[in-house]
Amino acid sequence: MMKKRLLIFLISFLSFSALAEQTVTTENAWLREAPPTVKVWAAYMTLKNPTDQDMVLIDADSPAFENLMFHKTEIIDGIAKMHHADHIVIPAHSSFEFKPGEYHIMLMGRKIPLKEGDEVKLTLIFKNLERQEITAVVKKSSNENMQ
Amino acid sequence: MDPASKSKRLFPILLAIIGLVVGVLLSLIINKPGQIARTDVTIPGLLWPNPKPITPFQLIDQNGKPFNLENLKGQWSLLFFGYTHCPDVCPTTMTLMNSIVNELSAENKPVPQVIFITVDPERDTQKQLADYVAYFNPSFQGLTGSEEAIAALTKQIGVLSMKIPDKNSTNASDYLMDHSASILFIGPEARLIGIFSAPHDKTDIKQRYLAMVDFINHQS
Ligand SMILES: [Cu+2]
Repeated sequence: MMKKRLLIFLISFLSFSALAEQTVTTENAWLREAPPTVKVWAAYMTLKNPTDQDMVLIDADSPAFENLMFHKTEIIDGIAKMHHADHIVIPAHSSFEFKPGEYHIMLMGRKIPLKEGDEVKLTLIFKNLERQEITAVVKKSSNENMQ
Repeated sequence: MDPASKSKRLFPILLAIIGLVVGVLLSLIINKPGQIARTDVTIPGLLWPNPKPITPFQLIDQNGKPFNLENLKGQWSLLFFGYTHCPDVCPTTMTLMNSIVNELSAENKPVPQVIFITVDPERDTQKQLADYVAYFNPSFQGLTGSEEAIAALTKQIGVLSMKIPDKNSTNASDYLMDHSASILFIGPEARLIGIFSAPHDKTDIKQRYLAMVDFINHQS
């Protein structure tokens, strides 16, 4: 009897902790502050996937901007290009980084004034239809946070 | 062995030693210290011995004043071509150039004028540029002009740009620009002296800039 209870307890504990970890987490989400007249911004963050399955980011949304998309900056023969990425794969037990000069979330059509220190809500939409609300902080770009 | 043949054998050695001493002394007298190693200088990105003289062009700065070839003469200049609707590469490069000029100024080194030239005159008005460059550094200059006027400068120094319509937007004013990501270095005689290609590293560019300034100062 004791044994059975303990087993049930263990199973529920394990499945609960598994559930609690069963999703992507974001770290250090930030938007690069741009001059006041600029309406096209970029956001950066690290996405961690502790699950056994690849997670696929298919869309993003923000009340502060009209349109969001995933871009990759590439420099080919000295020319800087931004390529549209349809989706972003965060491999199982791995992570994905949006960072300056590489992948970024392109935010077009800023609707409200934003400055350093402001917080911006972003919704990340995954292929499994999971939606995540996250908060990104507006930061000034410096050489420190661009490494 | 008689003394005569001994001195005969020593003579060439003595001559060689004298020659060496004279040579070293002469080289010390003729060359100023900084010039000794100048013949084999290699600075990545330095366009030597063929710097490119810039030919006349006519643009407008962020205050509406004309900016032409004369504005490049008599000082060091860093040129970067981009557009203000560019959220990643352009602000990264502008921030980097701001750090470089701040460090150079703090170290009492020659500070270049920094010039941002739009490849997107359609959206980058004089006002837009004024706000943009001042955001990064109040001393930075922003240039615009007609497409032809900008091309008159970009063509001669190999800077490319291309308008890319945004397939995901219905708004015709949402387009991207592919553009050269290099920082161009112009010397006081309005010649293109060096090209720093992307990806940019602050310390690396600063060191190469200083090496190029030093190199050019020792020519002529
Ligand atoms: Cu982009």
